[in-house]
Amino acid sequence: MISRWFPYTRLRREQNCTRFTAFTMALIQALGWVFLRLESPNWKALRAQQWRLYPHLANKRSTIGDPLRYIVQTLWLLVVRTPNLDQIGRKRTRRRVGAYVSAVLNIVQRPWNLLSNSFEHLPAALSPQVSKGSHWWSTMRWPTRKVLYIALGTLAVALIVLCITEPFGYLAQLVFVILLWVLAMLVRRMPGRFPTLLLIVLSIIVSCRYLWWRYTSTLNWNDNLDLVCGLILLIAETYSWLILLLGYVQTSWPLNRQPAQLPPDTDEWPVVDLLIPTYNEELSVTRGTVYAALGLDWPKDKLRIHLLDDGNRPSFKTFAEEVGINYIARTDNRHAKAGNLNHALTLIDGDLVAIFDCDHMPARSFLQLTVGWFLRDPSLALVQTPHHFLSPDPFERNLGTFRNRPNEGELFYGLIQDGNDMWNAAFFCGSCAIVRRTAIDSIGGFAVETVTEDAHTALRLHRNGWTSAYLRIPQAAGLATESLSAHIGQRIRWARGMVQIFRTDNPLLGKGLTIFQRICYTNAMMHFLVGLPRLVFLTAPLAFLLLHAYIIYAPAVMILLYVLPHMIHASLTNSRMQGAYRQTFWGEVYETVLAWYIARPTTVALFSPSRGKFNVTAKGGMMEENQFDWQTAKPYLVLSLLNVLGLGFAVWRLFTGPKDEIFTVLVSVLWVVYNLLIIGAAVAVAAEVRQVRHTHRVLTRLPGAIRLADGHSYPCELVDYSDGGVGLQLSQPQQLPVGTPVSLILQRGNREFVFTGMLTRSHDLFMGLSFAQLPPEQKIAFVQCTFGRADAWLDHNSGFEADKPIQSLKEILALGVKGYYRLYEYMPAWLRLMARPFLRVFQWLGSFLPRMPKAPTPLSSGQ
Amino acid sequence: MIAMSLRGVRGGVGTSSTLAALGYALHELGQKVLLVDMCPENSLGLHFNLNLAPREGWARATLDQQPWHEHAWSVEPGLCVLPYGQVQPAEYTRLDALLLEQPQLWSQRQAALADAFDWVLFDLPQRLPGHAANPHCDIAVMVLNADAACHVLLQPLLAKKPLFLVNRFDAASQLQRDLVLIWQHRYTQSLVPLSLHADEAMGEALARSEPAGRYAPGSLIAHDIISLASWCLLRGRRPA
Repeated sequence: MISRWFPYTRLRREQNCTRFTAFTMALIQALGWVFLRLESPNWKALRAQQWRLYPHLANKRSTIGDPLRYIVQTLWLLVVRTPNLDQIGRKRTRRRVGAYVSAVLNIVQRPWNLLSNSFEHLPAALSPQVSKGSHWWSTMRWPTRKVLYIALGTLAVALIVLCITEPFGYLAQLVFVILLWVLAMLVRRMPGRFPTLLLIVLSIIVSCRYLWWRYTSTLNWNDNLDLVCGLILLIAETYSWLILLLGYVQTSWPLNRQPAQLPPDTDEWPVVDLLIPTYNEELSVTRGTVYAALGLDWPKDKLRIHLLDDGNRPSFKTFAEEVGINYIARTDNRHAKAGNLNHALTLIDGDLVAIFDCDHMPARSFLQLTVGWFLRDPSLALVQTPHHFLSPDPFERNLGTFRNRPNEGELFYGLIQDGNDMWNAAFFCGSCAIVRRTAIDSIGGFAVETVTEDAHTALRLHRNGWTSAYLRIPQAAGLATESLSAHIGQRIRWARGMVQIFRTDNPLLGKGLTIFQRICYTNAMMHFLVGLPRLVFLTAPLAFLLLHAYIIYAPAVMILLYVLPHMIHASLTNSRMQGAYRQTFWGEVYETVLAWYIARPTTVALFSPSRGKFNVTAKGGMMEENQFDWQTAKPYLVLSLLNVLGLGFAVWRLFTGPKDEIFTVLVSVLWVVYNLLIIGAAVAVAAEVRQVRHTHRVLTRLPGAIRLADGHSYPCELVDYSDGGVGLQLSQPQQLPVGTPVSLILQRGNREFVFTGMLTRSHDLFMGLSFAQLPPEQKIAFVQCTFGRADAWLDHNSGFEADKPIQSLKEILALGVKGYYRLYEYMPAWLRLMARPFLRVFQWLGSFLPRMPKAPTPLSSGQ
Repeated sequence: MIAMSLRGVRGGVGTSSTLAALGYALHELGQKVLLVDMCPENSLGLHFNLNLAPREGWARATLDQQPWHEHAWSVEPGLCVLPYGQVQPAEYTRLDALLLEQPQLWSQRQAALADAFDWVLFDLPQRLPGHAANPHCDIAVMVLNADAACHVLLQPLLAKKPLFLVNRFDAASQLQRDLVLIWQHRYTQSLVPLSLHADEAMGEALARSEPAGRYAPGSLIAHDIISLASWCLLRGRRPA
């Protein structure tokens, strides 16, 4: 009995507490029993759920901090709404408190909901009036209409200029930004594309206003240091503003082009040369592409497949002869891939040229979906399809976002190219595309002057009056780069090449382009200059904290009143436009990782465009174990150290600096912490997760059947496949020893194919088969039944979660913390030893943080 | 009630086994099914663990002018088998002539069965035109294997626009794949849009005197037969 009321001995013996701790805890418990009637049913119910509600205190040795932890967690539980808490006797109080709160909230919320719901239904409700109005508008006489257009346009421009340039005090600015924000939040609820345009307009107004204010009233002309630092930041911001605006134009109205029908008579279908350029890639990677190309649905006499081997390797030659495709090699390899393609053009004479990198396996429907447009539009030079990757890129692998978040390329292939297509500016991406032979001949072959021959070729085609098309249907899949350093290397090449084109063949100058084509190309090229501005943003608050330079010479509150709306509107608008292709704030991480590495090459290319060479992207490799890419992460470690130093200075300034600067210091600290976490997320990417498979498994759900050597057959479901094997799920378990030959029956359309493989693993209903020794014709059939299926990549985005900006911000910040933790894990032992005390302090502080209670178990909440 | 018949393009293509398995599968799908053996071999009952060639059956009864419907066996509630009965060669030739004389004989019987059954499946013989022609079926399917003999034999049948069902299909065989491809291409309308795969379980089922779906419910052939039964349900409900 005494052990229940005053558990001193139990705490001492079982939990090995110190005398003081045990005594204090026991005393608290005894006081609780005396004064709180802990034996009452309400307390009993609560005690039964103790470990659910206080999960971090379960299975933990009692320490002297526990009472505080209980208090913190209890307060948390009272404030935060948790499911099923109502069952625990506190129902009434909660309800009373909740009623007050919701009554207060209701005053605001009800009209808001009414308003936003009416906005949501506005397009439908308004449509009769709108159609009537547009009818009235179109029947109006042209001169009247013209006058009205001019009048409305002048009025709008005048209003916008007024909104942008009118200087406001604190209150006026606050009212203005809140009004615009409320408007944006209402418009956001409306479906359709015009509300998106409205959001864009709001965002442009707010951003222009911000920039105007920055230029006119935030530069300190009296102090050189202030002025220099301020101007650097302002230039970086101007760059971002420009990219934002160009991006809005580029993606305001994605075209969503559909495939064009081919004529029923196959005699009218053009002859296609399919080129597979390769240089140093492995044969094993190239094979799959060749097999898939052989399975394309196209008349056999009208499809010629050529393997362009710049490496001059006998094994490739033998392979080409084996499968019966043309092998083209050349004596030199001048101008790399573009030279390779141009050399092949001299030997072939088809109407169309399809190009697939040797690691992009085409789906069987590729030609049937793309060629129709060439027949419909005689001036069409190019049809590009997305680059889809069946393996995770370094970001996806190291951050664990494969198949549940859009990846880095998704924005470009999902939205930007589709937006470009609207302005006839979709450009060539080097692979998974098909071009018209006469068009490419008319510009003298593929461009060889830069390291990104693809974009430059497209630019020349457009300059010569050809058009291009983009079909947003993944019709090929390839391997993503296997390591962060390779990924960065590839991006450096793109960045350098695009900047080279910007210098040597500037899309803003020269003949033959429409204004929108110029905008699209400029944005694509300018986009790669992001390195320096990003580095400026990552270090800007340090200018104040370390050097005491007033980079934005304005009161801190005013800065917030201007910069926050600018960021919020841009995020809201981009979330609506790009949410499905890139989630809010993820762009920051991608840019941050690349910033340091593309800063130098792009700057060099900007001033001396002829320097720089072509580097081939390595793909399809393995990573034996988890490792940290110190080399790549080094600049970010320096940046984060600088920012930590800035935090130290901030603390110093907070205590010793003048009183009126405190708020400025706090704002800077917020900025520094944000930067630190973004850098942390970049560091997290550098912690490479191991990758042991030679071949990548593609998840799927396909019906199939297996056939055993004794003639028994069973239906099954194909759950994953790679080019070396498959994973199956059976409906009943099979007891088979590993090594048994098993045949897999797969369907393609209404044809069936049988592949004999070997059992490599068998567990319950799951079975793994390996196909090491398939003859070539079987391999073709296998690729056709799996990678080459027309619908193989259509549902790649089905696992993506919807974009929620706030949620996304939280994730990125959590990722930043995780990055530093990973960094700690990979540190050398001596450093870790030094860091451990700090980590302990953080962990100890963290142990006081409240947790979400666990989900109730039926047993404990069954009352 | 829907009447359906299966008949082999030639002997030994697996007609009876398929019919037994199909009847069982339809019954599994909640249908009341009667299987009628129209072959003098009198072996359909074997698939349902009846004696080989029972003396009594509809042919015997018809010849003896007895009530024909008394000789059906109930395998399970809602699943019945009507054997042919033991009949000498001379007698079944006589019966065939009788059936040719009275083409409405089985139609009348079918009308009498309409209330009791959802499906009546007839296992038709190769020869004996009277036997083959007498039941009037909503769905008449010719069973064949993907081999050259069947390819030749089906040519004269094409004029009648029958339905063909490929049995014992083995996708590992180049010949079979090619033949089925040709048939899919040429006789799109006539070919049942699914093939029954070769599966050892089908042969073993007969050795165990059970329909395939009951002997090996997890096998590929049982799966195929369920698909066939579902197809039949769709086809049968469709107004002809």
